[in-house]
Amino acid sequence: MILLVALLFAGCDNPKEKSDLKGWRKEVGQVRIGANTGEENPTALARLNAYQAYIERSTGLPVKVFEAADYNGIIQALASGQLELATMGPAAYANARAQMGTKVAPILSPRTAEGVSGYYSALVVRADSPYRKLEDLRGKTVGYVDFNSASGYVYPRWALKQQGFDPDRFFGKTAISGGHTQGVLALDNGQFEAVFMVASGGTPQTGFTTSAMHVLAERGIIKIKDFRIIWSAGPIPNSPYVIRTDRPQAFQDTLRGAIAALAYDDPATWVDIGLGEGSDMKPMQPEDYGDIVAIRNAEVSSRRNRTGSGSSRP
Amino acid sequence: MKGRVKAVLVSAIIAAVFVQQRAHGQTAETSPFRVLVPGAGIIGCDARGDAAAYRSHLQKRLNRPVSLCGVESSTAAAAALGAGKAEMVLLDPIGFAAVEDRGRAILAGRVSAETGRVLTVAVVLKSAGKDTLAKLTGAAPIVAGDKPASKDVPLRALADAGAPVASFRPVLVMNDDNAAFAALRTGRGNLLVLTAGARQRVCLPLDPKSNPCADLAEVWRGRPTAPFAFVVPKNMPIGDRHQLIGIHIALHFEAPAAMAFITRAMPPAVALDPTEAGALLIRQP
Repeated sequence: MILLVALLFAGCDNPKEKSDLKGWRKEVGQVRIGANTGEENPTALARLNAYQAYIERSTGLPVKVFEAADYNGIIQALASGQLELATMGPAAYANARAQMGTKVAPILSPRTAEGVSGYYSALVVRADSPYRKLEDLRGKTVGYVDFNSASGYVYPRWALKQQGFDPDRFFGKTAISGGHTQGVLALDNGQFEAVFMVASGGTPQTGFTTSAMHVLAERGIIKIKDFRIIWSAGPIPNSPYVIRTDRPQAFQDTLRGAIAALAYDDPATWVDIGLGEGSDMKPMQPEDYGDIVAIRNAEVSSRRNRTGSGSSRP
Repeated sequence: MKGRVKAVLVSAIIAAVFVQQRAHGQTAETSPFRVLVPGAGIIGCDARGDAAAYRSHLQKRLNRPVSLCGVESSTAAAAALGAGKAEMVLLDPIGFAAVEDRGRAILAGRVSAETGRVLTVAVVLKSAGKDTLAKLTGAAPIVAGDKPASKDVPLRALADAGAPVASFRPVLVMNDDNAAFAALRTGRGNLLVLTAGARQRVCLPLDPKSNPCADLAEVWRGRPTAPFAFVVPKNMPIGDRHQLIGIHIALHFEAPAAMAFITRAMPPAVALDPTEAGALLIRQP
């Protein structure tokens, strides 16, 4: 809803009528970027506006950044042509791909200095709870993030099934928390006995350094030591920047180049928008997300079979 | 006479259409985008095989003619850029030195899927008082892992920056970031050489009041000098530069034959990464 209101408001100044635009710039008219809570760093959301001046300078077009409360708002705005570019989780991209086909494509995703471009789903419990391993959560109340979240719903459910656990029968009760940070806060408040969340900046072997828990701890809201990761799955390909492929090729190339160059052109802004020092952007193509698309499609089919309703809900 | 009038009229119509099209931005740029590449087997401007694939791909994506010509040396390519006779040239650091006031690097090779030009930091204990690279003579370096991105590239970056690496004691390789920081603090070495990402991960405060790295000082940060890079005029509009970057960083999967040419031109690149303007600068300590 926030997104739709913002887009409606944006429609009032119709930048496409600007007579000084030429060629592909005239055709595109403006750059509308959609973002919601990122899979790797939920706090990056508000700071994504820092892109605006940079992208405007690069493309020569007015830039607007729109935020949505959930993944679905971004997907719908992209599908209806109200956005040129969006950042979203891999499962949200899989949903967009299912709706839009080749009209949407991933172009970039973050990569660490060490060349790693994946992250994990982690199952977290309170440190003072008795739960030490997955089996301890049989019949317990568990929180997912969002139906369109790779690390908070789609991927862990697939991984659990691969390990012989049916998440719909194994846990006692499940609910959607609405976000990674919301999930951790709900866990802290005792609403859940465990929650799924994103974990990155490391591996299960080295431990993780970036997650919703770390973000909340940095703000002084929780303490990392009050929580424990008891299970993880991954790596999942990092969240992509996706673009509408029906925009002019020169525009797509310029935008991809601008975002990829930011780490080198303006490292301070790069870090300020929540991207890691020394990290960069890996160019991506649809094939890179083939597995997550297949997993998400299987999850949707399974849910339809369970409900028997044929619902199109993602 | 009648023929001349007709010719003038036709010319006027063509000119009017051209002006109208320009006003609406509908025409493609007709002047060639001139690329010069030394040492890739192109004789004159007769691009064949994978060179032709590269020229063709660039021409299609830029929507304007592209001339791709061989040149005898990086220095000659630099001279052409400096004289305004090329829009993009492939240079090495020696060639770049001649045009560093007029050109900027935009793209360099990536040697593997995992390893680019890693942003490196050199960290010491504050109490050591070593605040310049020159003061690192005889240092005992510690690295966080033995993969190229964690060891070889950061050490090369330090050497490229002019650190006295020949005087360094053998490198202590720790398994991970935290172990490397612990080794510095317990005196097993006195110089931590690691990726900026590793420093950020370990030094990230886990609550607003903490500073896990208050006892440490960063002596230097930077990337290794690129052995080759595409260079464009400094005054190239930022959007044009970004368009070139956007085209080239996806070359390895969008146009593999074109990438094969780039690999020959700047071995052993498997892909291209954007660069900072001074990626080819030979730094002084």
